[in-house]
Amino acid sequence: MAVLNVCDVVFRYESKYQTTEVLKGVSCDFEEGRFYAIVGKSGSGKSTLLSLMAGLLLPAEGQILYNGTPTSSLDLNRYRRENAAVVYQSFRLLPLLTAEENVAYPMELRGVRGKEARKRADALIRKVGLPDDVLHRFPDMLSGGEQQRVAIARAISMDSKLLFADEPTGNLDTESGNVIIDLLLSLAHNDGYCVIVVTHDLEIAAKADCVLRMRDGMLVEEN
Amino acid sequence: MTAIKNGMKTALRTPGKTLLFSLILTALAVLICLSFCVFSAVRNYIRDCDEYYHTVVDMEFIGKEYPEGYAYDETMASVIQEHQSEIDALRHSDAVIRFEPVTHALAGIEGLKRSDRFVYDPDAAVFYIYVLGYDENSGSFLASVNDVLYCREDFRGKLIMMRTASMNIDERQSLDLGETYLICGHFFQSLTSYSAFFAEPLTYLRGNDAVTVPECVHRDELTPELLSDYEELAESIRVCNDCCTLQVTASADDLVPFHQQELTLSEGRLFEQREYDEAAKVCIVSNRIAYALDLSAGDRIMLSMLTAEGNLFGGKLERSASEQYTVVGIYNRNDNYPACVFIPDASAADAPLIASNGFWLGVFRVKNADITEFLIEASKSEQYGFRFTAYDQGYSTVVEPMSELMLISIIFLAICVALTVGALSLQCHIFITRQREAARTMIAMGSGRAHIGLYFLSAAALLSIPAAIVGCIVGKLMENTVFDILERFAAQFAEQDLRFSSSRVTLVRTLTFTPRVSPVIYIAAGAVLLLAVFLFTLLFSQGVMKDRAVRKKRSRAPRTLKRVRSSTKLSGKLKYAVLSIRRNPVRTVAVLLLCLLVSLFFARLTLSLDGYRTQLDAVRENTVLKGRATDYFGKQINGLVVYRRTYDSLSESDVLSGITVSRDMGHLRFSGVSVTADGEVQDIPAPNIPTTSFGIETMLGQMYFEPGMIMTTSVRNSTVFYFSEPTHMVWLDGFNEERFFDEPDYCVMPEQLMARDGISLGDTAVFILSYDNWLSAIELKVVGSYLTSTGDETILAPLDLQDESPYLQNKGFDSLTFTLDDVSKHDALRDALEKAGFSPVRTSDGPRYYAVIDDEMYLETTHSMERQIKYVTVLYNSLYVLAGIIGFVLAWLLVSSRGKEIAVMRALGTRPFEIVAIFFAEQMLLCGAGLGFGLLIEKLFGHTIGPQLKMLVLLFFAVWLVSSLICLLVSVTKQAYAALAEPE
Repeated sequence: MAVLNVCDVVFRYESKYQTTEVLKGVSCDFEEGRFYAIVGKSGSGKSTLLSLMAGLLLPAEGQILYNGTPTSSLDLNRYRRENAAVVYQSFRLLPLLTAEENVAYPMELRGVRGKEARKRADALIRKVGLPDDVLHRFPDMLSGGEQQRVAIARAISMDSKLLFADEPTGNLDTESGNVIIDLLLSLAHNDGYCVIVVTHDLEIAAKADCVLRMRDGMLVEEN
Repeated sequence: MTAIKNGMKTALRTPGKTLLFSLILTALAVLICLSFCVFSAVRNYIRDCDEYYHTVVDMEFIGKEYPEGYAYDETMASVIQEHQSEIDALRHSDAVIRFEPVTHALAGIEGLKRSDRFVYDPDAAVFYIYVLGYDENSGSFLASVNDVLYCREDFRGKLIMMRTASMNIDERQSLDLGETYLICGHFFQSLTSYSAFFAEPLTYLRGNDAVTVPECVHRDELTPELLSDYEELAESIRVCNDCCTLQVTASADDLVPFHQQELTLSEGRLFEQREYDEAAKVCIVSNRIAYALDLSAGDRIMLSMLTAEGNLFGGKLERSASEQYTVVGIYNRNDNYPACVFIPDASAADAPLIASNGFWLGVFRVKNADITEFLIEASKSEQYGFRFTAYDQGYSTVVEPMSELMLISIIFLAICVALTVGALSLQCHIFITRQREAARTMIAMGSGRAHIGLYFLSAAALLSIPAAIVGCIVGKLMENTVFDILERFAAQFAEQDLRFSSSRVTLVRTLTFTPRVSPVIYIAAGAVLLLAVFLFTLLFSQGVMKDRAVRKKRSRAPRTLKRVRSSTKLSGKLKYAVLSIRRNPVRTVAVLLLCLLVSLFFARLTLSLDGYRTQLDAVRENTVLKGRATDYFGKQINGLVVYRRTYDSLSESDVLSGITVSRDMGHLRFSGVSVTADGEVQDIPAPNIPTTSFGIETMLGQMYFEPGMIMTTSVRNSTVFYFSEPTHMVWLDGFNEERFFDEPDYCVMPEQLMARDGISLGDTAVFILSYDNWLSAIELKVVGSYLTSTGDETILAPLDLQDESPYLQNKGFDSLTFTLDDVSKHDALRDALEKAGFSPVRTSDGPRYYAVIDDEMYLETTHSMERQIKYVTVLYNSLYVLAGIIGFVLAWLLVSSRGKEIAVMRALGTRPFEIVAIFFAEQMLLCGAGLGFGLLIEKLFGHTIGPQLKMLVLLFFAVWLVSSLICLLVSVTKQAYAALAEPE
């Protein structure tokens, strides 16, 4: 059963001078336990689609249904806090928090007590393959690959089954990129996450269970 | 051209920002123009004042003797000789523009015969008399005047009562009745209705020899030589009486009478510079002389100069040849300058002029701004008896408030400059730094530095040139409004009540503030602003061109691995705030330090302001003002007429803390000690007091040089101690100032007199008192003694106002001094003086009672402190505002620099109000702790945290928090997506 349904979504960027329709009626469904890759050229609307699905934006027309409920009717803060985890190309870790605290932060937002949150954060960091000495390091003490793994740990700490990744390997070397992709694949296939990755990288697309190709704001191919 | 076109397009395509900055620049241009304009107008006015007002310092010598205008003072001559080097140093000090010694001479004007009462010796006469009889009662001869050698009035054929100096009761037959005598002497005021004449030997100089002519010679005993002596004596008196005093000058308008406008020209003008330079034979005369000789400006007189060694009128007069002088000005009559002639000094270069008579030594023309320094320097010579009185015509009164305005305009200008720098930095940040991508692209496309510079400059020019032009025009249009405000402001400063103030005597004229500003000022202000815009633009564009796009990218050194533990103790909403504070030590320390410094800075400012205010209060608290009834010039303290009703009026005003009046009781001649201090009665002969009017008048004349006595209502506040405190004062055991008034026959004597007459403290001494043309014997018990630095020889006796005869009550007092403990009643005192009928000195309107409050030093001190407080208040308020602006901007920058963090938090689902709470708490903790530490440090150093400081610190705290809050609200309402989409 689809955890996320995108139904005829239209989205426009409006400025003083022009209105650009970046999504022109996109429809697709996403299921748990699968790894999706959204590919397309720059400006095709894939990142916008990801932001809409992650609850950072709302569609102008059409609906995005999370477990059958339109996101427009949800408390988006709560949706982002509890249901939509995002991994960014540039990691977006909070610079003043250690790796452990970064991972614990979303849990604390959901009311998990500090000690419990830390314990779970430690386990998640280990789960993404990082050694214990990373726990107490600040983001700028970590390599790009380590930061991205911390970001993934933070994402999966949300107990959400939806995980979005926007060019997760864009800032990483090939080896680190492969590790990250393997991790995301493992999360989809072993832990039942619905992982949706926006990427240019055809190698990642090749590993995906489903590839959605976008062009000029429309979904042109799904296989 | 392409660069210019593109640059302009960039500005035009962001019309909102362009308009905003254009408006900011226009406002700044207006403010800068007006500040420049105020500064320039006030500076011009001060410069005009510097030319318009002349500050002169009158130098006098006040020795032991009563100052005599034309007499030779031997003490003064020796003091001058002894301290010539100090006087020369003063003359050549940098503050002095010129020194003009007072050089007197006599001027003989051909055809002038003076008939006024201000001549040298109006009562002298030399004439033949015919003795008609002798009056036993008055001890005088009755005689008729036969022939006159010299007398101002025509006494020929008139009767006189005459005595001679050598006469006494036993020598009454020295003149034979029915005989003719040639006599010389003076008319005097007598108790009889006849014209009374006192024949006495008179002296004149023949060559270097003093020739004394006997008072009386029988016609038959008159030899040709003796007759010649009488004729020469008569001629000598005539010359002295018909001549005028002559003052040579290098700058007539610096002479105190003209400078202070006591003398004003009724016709003609003062001398012109070329007349000084060319030694022109020109003069200014009194209208008394002009009237006597029927002169108008432009007429000519024949003038000769007469000089004598020593006393101006004494000794042999040496006359220079007559020369023709043109009258260029005629001054209005003034009793103090009845018949003076002023001539340029160079025109009398050959005449021997004598400087060492009189007590006026000269006039220093001093640079207006340097008067205080000069007076400080000059005051060192006061110990020798020199006195310096400054007259600035009101320069300080007029210029000081304007100087304050100028300072305020400078502060305002400085603030405008600071704001301009801030605005230009922001403008350049927005229009240049944010366009660094465009610059990089241009560089990548091969554009040179000049091209990029031109690109940014053209955008800046499009923004700033119209703004500067409009700003200058608006500034010019607002000029008059600003000047109106300025004039009102200046008038507010000038509204000082200086009635009766000793500092008021110099205020004689006011130069109206007529602001004039050259249009060049506006052009200059606009040009400076444009220059600043272009300079900033170039600096910022250089910065952009040096940016990392064109530099080799430096890899950032990895952060040192150190042992950090994740927080285990903190939880909840404030956790992130606390961690943020802990984990960003640079920012934390910087903010803490900044807030601590702000706190200390505010504390210092308020403390210094409080310090000034405390000092001012202390000065006011500890000042006792003194004042006195005086003469027209404000110099005299004794010998006045102050009626009882005036005293009563002042007493009833209930303003003064003390009023002391005294009555001059004439002179005392010591006759002996009747009872010694230990109670032993001495057998001393009774005082020899004459009984005939002749004898009485003779003794009265002789006693003129004996010590004087005053009866006073207070010893300490008596006129004797008004200008100089006693250096030594002793009371008899059991006596003090209060007990002194127990008995009317107590007295306090100067120690040198007691030593001279062998009087001890406690003795009862017998004196002959000459008072009110009468003689009597009195006994006084000496209960106190004193010594002053000036060697006063006045005996003080108690004056009991409650127990006076009606005669004395109506007689009035010879002096009145007062003290005011509570200076807040300063204005009330002025009112009380006015109500009592006093006029300020040197004002001829109103009744002829003058009073002066010796408050010059007090006013100078308090005004200077008040001025300082005003400056500091204006300056400090500006600094407070500046600190507030800085606080606002920094708080904004601190929060806005965390935009990415806020966006991430929002992306992770943190509620907006939680984000606001987190960052607001952080700012509150940081700023609050910094400010609190500052206050704590102040407290530790023992300084009081006053309400003003608390208020300032709280205001800064509030500004900081408000700025943070606004920035936070802006940040959390911004779409998280937009913030996250921005490049790192």
